[in-house]
Amino acid sequence: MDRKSQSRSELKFISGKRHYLLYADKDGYPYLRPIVDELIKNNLPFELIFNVDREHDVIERLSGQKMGCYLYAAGHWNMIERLNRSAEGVGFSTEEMQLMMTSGEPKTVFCSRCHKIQQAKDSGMTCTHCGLELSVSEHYSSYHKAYLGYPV
Amino acid sequence: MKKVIQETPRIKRFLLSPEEGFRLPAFSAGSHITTYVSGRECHYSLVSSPEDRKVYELAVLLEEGSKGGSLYWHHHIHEGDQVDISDPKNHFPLSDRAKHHIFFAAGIGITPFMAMMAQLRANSGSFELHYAARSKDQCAFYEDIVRQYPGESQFYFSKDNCRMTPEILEKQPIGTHVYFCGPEAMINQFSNAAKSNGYPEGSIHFERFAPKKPTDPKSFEVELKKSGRILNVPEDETLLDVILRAGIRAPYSCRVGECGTCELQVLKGEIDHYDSCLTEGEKREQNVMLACVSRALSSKLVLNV
Repeated sequence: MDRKSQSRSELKFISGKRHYLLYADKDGYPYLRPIVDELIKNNLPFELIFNVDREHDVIERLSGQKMGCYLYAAGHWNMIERLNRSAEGVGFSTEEMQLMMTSGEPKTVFCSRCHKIQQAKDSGMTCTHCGLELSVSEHYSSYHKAYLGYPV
Repeated sequence: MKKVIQETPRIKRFLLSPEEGFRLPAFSAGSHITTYVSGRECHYSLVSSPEDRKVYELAVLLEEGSKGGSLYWHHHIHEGDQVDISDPKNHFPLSDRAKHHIFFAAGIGITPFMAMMAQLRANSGSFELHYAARSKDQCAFYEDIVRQYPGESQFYFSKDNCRMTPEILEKQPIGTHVYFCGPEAMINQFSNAAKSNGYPEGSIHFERFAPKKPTDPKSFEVELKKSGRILNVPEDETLLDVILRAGIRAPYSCRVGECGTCELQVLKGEIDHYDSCLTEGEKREQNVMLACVSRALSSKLVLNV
């Protein structure tokens, strides 16, 4: 994911793309609204999907996209996690998407470099102790009571 | 030198095997080696499959007007000769994130893609090749490609008025990475087309065999801050050549402005960037430059050397 956008309070509009794909839930849509306005103002092609389809439908829609597609999403942690996993799985790179978590439980994360434990609200974050950019994995340690954060 | 094959009127293939008892270092597709012949360092892509540790294969184009490496290779290297080479280095690797790879080759630019296609075939990777040449008889590896990759390759012979165009880049599925190797104009045209089609920078890969040519090269001075030495860089030499000749042990590798090994800190002066390694932001900051290709817009640069 684009780590810089996750730590900001707004998504950044990226011009020069052939098609824009946007996902939002009720809480996330206000954060996507400026992007939608920009797309309409510039008469750019986009699809806006409210609430994430079933996983199979998400993968089908994402894998049908062409190079030049840009993915935006804003919403609950669960939706963002699913979209991130599916998008990376079909070939989206971090340069081709911005995903913002707007609600959900913060995770406890174990930094793989300094081993400090901290809270995370996004699936990507910067370690508050050593500054390493981390991707929060699904690997959970019952000993540390935290998810493993590995270097990006 | 195990074998020499005349591949086309201007391209020869050279198969190198190690001395008795030695095994060649492993390499990844896209790698090149430096060869040391006739007092010159020449870089050539490894054409052979990375699966084969017994032979390295190169293909050398006899450059028009060559007075150096390619001329020596074509006229003075024979089977049985001993040749000194470096370990392989890779500034042009396959992306491990790509779902599909598209190779665009022009002329001798086919060489890195031969190893890439072999590696992908061995690992069941998805790829296609688009290869432009003047004609079939000037198309290196034509028979090998048709035999090994009939469903993945497309040829464009300019003698038949058949041109390779950037329209191929349109409507490619998400996860596609594109790779370009050939003349400067071809790399620029296709890279720009990829960006216009919305491809992110990380999905666009290219390898130059020659550095970008400065539009109007002028001589300039450099002051080496740590020693106080002043050197002059003539219009027909690179900064790297001048500082190496002055006995400074500056690191370098590709010599075409791609790998970043020769990066130097600039303390004062205006840099004229010709590399394809630094980001636009780094170039704007005007405090680092690649010595192998970049020059000065001001009459003098002060380097932290």
